[in-house]
Amino acid sequence: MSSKSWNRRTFLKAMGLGGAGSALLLSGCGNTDIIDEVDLEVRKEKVEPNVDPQDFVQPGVALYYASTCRMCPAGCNLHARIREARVLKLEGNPGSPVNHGRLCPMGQAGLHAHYNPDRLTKPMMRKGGKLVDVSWDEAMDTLKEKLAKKNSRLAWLNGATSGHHAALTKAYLEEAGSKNFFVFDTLPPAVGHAVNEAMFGNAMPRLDFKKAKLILSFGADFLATWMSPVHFPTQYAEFRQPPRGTLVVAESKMTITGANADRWLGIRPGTEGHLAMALASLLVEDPVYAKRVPKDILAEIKKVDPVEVSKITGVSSERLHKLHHLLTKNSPSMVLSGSSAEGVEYGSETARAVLLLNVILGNVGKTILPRSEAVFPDLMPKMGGWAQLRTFIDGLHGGKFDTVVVFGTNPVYQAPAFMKADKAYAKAGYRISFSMFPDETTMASDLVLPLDSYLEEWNTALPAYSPEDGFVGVQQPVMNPVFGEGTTRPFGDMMLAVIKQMNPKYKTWKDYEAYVRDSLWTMRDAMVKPPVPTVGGETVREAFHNQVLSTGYIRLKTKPARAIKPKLEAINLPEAPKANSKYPFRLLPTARLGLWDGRHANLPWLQELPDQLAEVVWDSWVELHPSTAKKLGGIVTGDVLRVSSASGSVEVKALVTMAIHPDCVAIPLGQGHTEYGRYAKGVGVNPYHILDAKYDAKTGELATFATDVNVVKVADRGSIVTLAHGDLVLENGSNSQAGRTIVKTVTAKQFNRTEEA
Amino acid sequence: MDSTTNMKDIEWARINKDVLGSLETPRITFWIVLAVCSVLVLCGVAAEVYQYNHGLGVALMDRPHFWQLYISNFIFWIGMSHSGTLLSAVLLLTKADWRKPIYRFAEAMTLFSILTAAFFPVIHLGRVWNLYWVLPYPDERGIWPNFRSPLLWDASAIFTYATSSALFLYIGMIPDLAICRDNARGWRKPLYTLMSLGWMGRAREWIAFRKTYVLMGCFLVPLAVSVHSIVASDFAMSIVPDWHITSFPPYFVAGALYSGCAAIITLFVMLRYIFKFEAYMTIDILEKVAKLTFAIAMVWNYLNLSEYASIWYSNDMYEHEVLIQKFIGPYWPVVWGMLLCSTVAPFAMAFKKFRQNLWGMFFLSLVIQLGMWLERFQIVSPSLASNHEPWTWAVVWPGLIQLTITAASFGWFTMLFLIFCKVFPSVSMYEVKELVFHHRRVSARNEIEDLNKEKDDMIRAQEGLA
Amino acid sequence: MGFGRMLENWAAFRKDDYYDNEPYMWGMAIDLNKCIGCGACVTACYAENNLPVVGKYHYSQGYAMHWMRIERYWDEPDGHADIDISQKPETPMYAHEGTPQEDTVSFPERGAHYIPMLCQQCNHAPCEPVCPVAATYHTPDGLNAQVYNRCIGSRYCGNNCPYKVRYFNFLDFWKENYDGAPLPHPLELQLNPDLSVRSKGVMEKCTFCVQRQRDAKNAAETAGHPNYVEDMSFMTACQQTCPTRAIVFGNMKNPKAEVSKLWASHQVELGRVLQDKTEDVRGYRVLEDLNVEPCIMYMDRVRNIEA
Repeated sequence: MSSKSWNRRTFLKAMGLGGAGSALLLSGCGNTDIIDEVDLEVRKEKVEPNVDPQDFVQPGVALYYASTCRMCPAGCNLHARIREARVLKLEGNPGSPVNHGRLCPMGQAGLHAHYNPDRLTKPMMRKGGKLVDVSWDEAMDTLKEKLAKKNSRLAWLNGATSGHHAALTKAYLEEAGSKNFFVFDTLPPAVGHAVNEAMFGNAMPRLDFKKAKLILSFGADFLATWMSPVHFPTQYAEFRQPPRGTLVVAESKMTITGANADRWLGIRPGTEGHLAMALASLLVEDPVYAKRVPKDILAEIKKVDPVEVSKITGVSSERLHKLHHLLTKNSPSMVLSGSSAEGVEYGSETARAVLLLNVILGNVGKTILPRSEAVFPDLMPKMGGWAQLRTFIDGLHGGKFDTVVVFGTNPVYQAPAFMKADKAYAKAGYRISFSMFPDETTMASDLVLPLDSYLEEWNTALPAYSPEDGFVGVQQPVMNPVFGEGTTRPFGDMMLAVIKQMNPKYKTWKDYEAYVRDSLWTMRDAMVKPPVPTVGGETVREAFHNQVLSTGYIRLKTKPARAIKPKLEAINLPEAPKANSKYPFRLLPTARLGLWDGRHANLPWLQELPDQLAEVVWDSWVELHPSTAKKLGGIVTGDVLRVSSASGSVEVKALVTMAIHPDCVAIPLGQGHTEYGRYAKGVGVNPYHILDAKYDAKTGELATFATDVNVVKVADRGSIVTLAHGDLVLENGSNSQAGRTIVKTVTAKQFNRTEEA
Repeated sequence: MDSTTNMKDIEWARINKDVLGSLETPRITFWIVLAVCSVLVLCGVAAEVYQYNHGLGVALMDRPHFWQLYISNFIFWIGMSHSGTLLSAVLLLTKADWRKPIYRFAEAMTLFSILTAAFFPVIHLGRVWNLYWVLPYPDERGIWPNFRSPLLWDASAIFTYATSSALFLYIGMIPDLAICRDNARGWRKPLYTLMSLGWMGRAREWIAFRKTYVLMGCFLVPLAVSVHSIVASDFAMSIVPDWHITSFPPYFVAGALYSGCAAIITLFVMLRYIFKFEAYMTIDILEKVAKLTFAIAMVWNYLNLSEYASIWYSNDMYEHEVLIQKFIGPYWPVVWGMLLCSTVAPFAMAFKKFRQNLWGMFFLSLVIQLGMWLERFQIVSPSLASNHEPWTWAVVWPGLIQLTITAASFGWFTMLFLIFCKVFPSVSMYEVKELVFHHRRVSARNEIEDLNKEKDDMIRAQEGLA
Repeated sequence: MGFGRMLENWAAFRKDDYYDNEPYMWGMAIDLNKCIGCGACVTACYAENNLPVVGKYHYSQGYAMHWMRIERYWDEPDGHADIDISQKPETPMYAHEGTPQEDTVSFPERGAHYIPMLCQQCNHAPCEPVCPVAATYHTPDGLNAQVYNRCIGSRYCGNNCPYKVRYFNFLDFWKENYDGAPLPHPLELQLNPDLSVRSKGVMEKCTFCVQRQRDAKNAAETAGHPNYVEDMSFMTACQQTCPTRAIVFGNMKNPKAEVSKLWASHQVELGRVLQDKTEDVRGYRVLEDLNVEPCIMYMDRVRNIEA
């Protein structure tokens, strides 16, 4: 065991091991030679030699490196626990204002992405119609040949990105003279971002949960899949301290946020905007609120009849008035708009109606707060959306692009069938994919470049939602590449090699590590508290890097934010959605905290994590309300149903639950892969596949919650009498406490009384 | 027909001839049945080897059904073992002579049931190869087994019971083995010579024999009761709802006696038919066994129903849930089957005509044994299915491996019994001779009494006349 | 190892002050007001403790090995639905799922009831006395310890656990993995060397991350204060990752530890079956009436019924 009295903090501070140590690890003397053994049995027996130990590897003593999680765009900061030069466990970085030392299930499962047996380890090229392994030399030569030139017909499709990857990509595209840069990520609420931008001047204003006494969420699953799965729960915990804030959630299918609500309003799909307008109309009866709204919009609001809306939404008048009462009594509040509300053809109108409530209630400036100007705009997160994907695919169909690069996204899997993304992609002249895994898009490409995982590369990343402006997360390798040097490569290194050929200025940096280190160094003066040497003999630069890397993030000085001046527009909500006799149910493709949008279907831990509402593992399902089940002829959980839209159909097992509106059915996202490795391939279905071609009128974003379907039973559930209902495997035997006191509940009133600090 | 008359007329040589005749080379049916049993046993062995290699998961038990058929079979077979002890030991001490023709095979049944039961605690372990850790020996790790655990008491109880029953059976057989020795040829002669320990039938030997035998009987009775009480405490000492019941030890003992008696009836009818032991295994004895079975059935039913009643009146939510689920939940066929077979069916024995009907009783005994097997199963699974934590409620039915091994256990028992019947006398010759002698004495005394009475009458008549 | 030594140990164990000199008594407090049911703790536990992923087929057979699980109920303990009765003429009970309900549309309007369930480390653990080989016992610092290499797999402890938080290795999950192959390379590199990988036939359960406790105690000893581990200087994996800080773990013998303060302020005492509370504070223990003395206190879930 350790003979020195180090604890984790002093270790990192004194040795600055984040920098020096990992450099040594990377420099080759830290070769994780256990990888080279083929036989698992032999590997298990191999002991770390003490006679010729690797530097900084003390058997039995754990090291911690700071980095940033990339499992979703939230960008939480983490500490990786290293033993014998390999990472074993990820924890949150306690100093990070994004996640406060905590991680969500996806963050924890990052290890399974990093150590995944289906990771690509060899570059591949398409020769004779098939992908074959090639050498890195050949791959890099081809890459440079294809990319290191001016090409206005080059198209680049990226997943949500930020930091220096984004900056480098932008720089490259400038060199290449291509304006065809598209960002596509499925879950970021693009409509919401656009509306926030228009109304409040920023795509993602700062939210103050602690100040809010009431949160009213229209489908914004902030505790799970909306923007930042760790940050908002940390704020939610504060929100629930005495005096306890109240959470009301209005959505058509219960999410984790809905499951924690004080009041969950099951609302008819597509009517969130109407509900918001009804609340607005009740609020503006009070002149205090009315005067916050311009006259023309006020006139529109006054036309709304709450009784009529009650019928449209399915929320009773009593509930509506109660909610109105809550909103008036609990100020300041926070009204949020989420993807399920915005995912209709009038999604922008819905978002505006919802966010208008914040203006009426005077939340702007209290719980909806402005942001300061971006210090380095090139580093800011680009969240993208379906509209960009559509342009990309339309461009491909139209033959506008010859060389295509895809990085960090999987359009062939995600895109609905009607977009014919696979055919579009096949039309490209030459397809280049940077990827860790053999996903659908990668396997349809011409040149495949296997990537280092986020735990093996240098980078910076900005959070999708940051509680502070000017926050930049730093990524560093926490161990040598798992499959050995030269099997996978970092994206940054490869693109830097390309861009060096186009602009010799980039030759100053040997590799992407140098590029990132240098870039961070240039940001030193912009930092709130630039690090200074603390250890004797350290140069300023050494101190800077050691401290930045051991902290894991930097904070930049920002100008004070200018107050938000809401810009309001008229809201044009259509008539209530009419029942479609051919397709009577609304399809809700809902994201799961775990598989996310499907990118984590190849991680066994996350497949085995039961869905937090449905408790299903390793499968897809379609949720329907018991009254719907009855109407369709007595469906029980486990029966196989065919869910058909005008654009396609899928067969999936039923789950009967009360936590969904009877007018809709919900199929979770995340499964239905046709490639992507042994854990994901052939499991479940992808509901995006059968979406109709409906778009938000204002932004052009795909309306993912606007497809109507019909549902038919195809087969009875299987007859295996186990925990499984036929072939649907659930975690639980009973939904009911059966009279036992397992979970007790008390009222908020009592809670506040007994625990007011 | 008056059995006493029959009995007293049997010559001792005939007893020897009949019983030794049963040891003759078997007919073809015997070999066929033995082959079938061997096949079953081999299937069981194969299943166990598969399970040993892959783990208990192949048996399809799961959380919360950590125990299933292996434990219920274990209890069933231990239960059946009480038959012999009841007949040989208890009835010996109560001087019920009618046990004499039938106790031998009952004792054999006891021993073989225990030998069958002994497999189950072994194969139900997750790490069978470490089984010997339950033995209290001073090991190099300095750890003793946990003496508070009922499973540990099981280990010593079963071991004691097995050795005691084997001894009891063996000692009781010594005079018979001597008879066999005197009449044997070929490979049997050295076997019997060895096993009869030089028994010559001297008075001294008989006196010592009697003392030993009775003493062992006295020892075996409390042992049998305690063994099955200990097995019951596997359940009663847990906190699982509907296991944690104080009356479980007597309930299990009663159940054991019940299924044991039923098994006796089954084998009674079969042996009587196969070996033509009509003279010894009389209808009268059958009726007495039936009455005994009926009495025990009533005792068992009382304990069963009082268990339900006390659970019901306890108002304990967990126990209530299990009880209700037993009747209307997924395991209801097992529970209702048990009630039909073990509560309703035995009332047939209230009728004398039925009691004296051989094949009726045979069929009933099979029904009762089925009922008691179901009883053991419904003790184990419904409680685990509806335990304290509703989240973990699950319904599991035994898988193929468990069923194969169950069938194999029946095969194994039958195989042992078949071999026993052909190697050792299944009717106790010397005891039957004692019975015959007793009947002769009784009938002789009766005759003399009758004659005396006649004489008295005559004298009185004469005197009266005079 | 003789008989005499056994008697010595027994005598020592039976002394009243057996636990008095022990500086640690590990306990936990879980706040159901904060728990959102996300399952981060479940995944963290898998990562920390080498828990096998069993795959769909074995999961359906009930072989899931999650030492920490999130239970989600839809109804109140008295069985009633969480629906505002004033609103609906009938208040449907949450019958077994799949039962079609009446035409009145009903939702679980107060959300779900989440509870993380893990080994409660009961002081009167019903699992301990019934193991035939003494593979599970109570440590002086309050843990219910499971000794993997002593376990012969009789599974009596699993039956006796009222929370059913004991997990049995029905198969060699490292061999009978999802696709029937041994743990595919390089996933085995993730395994935590601080604890073993269990073979088939062995019972396992949450240990309150005993390997982290051991490390912390070693560090404390090295640092010169062997009987004092600072509160929050180490955390269980579940506690460390929980985004809402719903899980608080610590040494209940340290009055300054957060967990001790919580137990005290919620008036839950370790040694009582029926708590004696003077105020309506939220702390309770699950299935406390079975007198198993769990070391985990839950705090009531809260709902604003005026919303």
